[in-house]
Amino acid sequence: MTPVAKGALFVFTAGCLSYIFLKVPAAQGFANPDLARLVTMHLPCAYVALVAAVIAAWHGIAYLRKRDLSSDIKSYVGAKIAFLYCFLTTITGSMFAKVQWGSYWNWDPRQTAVAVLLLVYAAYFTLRASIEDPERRAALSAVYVLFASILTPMLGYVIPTFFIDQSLHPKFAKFDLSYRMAIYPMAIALTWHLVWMFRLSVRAEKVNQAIAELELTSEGGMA
Amino acid sequence: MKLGPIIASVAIGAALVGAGTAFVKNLTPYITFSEAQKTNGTVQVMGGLEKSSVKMASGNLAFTLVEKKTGTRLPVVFGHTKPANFEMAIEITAIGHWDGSVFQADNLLVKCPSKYQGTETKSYGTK
Repeated sequence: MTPVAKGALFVFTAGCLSYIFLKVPAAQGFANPDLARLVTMHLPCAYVALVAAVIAAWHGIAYLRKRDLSSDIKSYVGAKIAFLYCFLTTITGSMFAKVQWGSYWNWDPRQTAVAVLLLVYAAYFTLRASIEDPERRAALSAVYVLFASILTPMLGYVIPTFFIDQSLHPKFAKFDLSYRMAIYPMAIALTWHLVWMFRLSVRAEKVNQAIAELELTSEGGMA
Repeated sequence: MKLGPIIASVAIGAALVGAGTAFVKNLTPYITFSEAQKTNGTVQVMGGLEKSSVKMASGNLAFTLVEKKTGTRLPVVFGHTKPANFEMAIEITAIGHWDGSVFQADNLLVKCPSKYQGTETKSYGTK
């Protein structure tokens, strides 16, 4: 990103946060109406996790079709960001649960589902770490990440919403204008961050791999 | 057409559906009221709060939960401090055990409202 774009992102994010902290009203009917504003972070995090999962799947498919290792790097970085935002959704949700329900963790259907999802991603990183050959690692990871990407909306949204009757979560929450005006711009801000993070991480990963290759060849030369 | 791959994919598909169904069934920690009344250990039940039933009896909070699907009623007793937003609760999760006549709750969890609406006037410090 150019310095101008970075500045714009900073101003936009600061604007979103200022709006949330200064203008969004406390929500009626909550245990702590002021802290109901947590939802303006919780939902956009879940949304960005889904976007990152789609990016991971997209580049995974691209690898399987073209066998270009740079697609593997992009898919890997996508999965890392998806994992990060699943984790942030879980943390913000857990904080909200303590305030509203009275417990950080109660194995509510969505909590159980997201715990499974985090394990699915953890298994992906374990899978990558366990394979030495870059092409084999890329192919297996690409297939696995498709599976993980399909599970992301399934476990995060579809199953808990449409297949489970009882939950401490509301099924379909309704937001008044002041909340929608916080949630949508926050989702845009986080998506913008995602794009930045994605590009930076892809570059960093490419540099890492180039260094690893150099070290390999120099070791070979010495032997 | 080869028969092998077809049989294999049908078997894999059936296994996935079976595993998926079992997973979804076990995803919820909440059991029905009739199941709770047959179980000795600690269980979780969830139901609508009958507002008119809420009362304080000898320092204990007593109220009735109504099961959504069946309309079954469950008397609940809670011996600790009342949760802050209890009066506004629509649905309650009670964690505890059935003692033969009443559900003894060790913990109460209050479901999230599904509407996010701002208060008309901000009234800080008046609670």
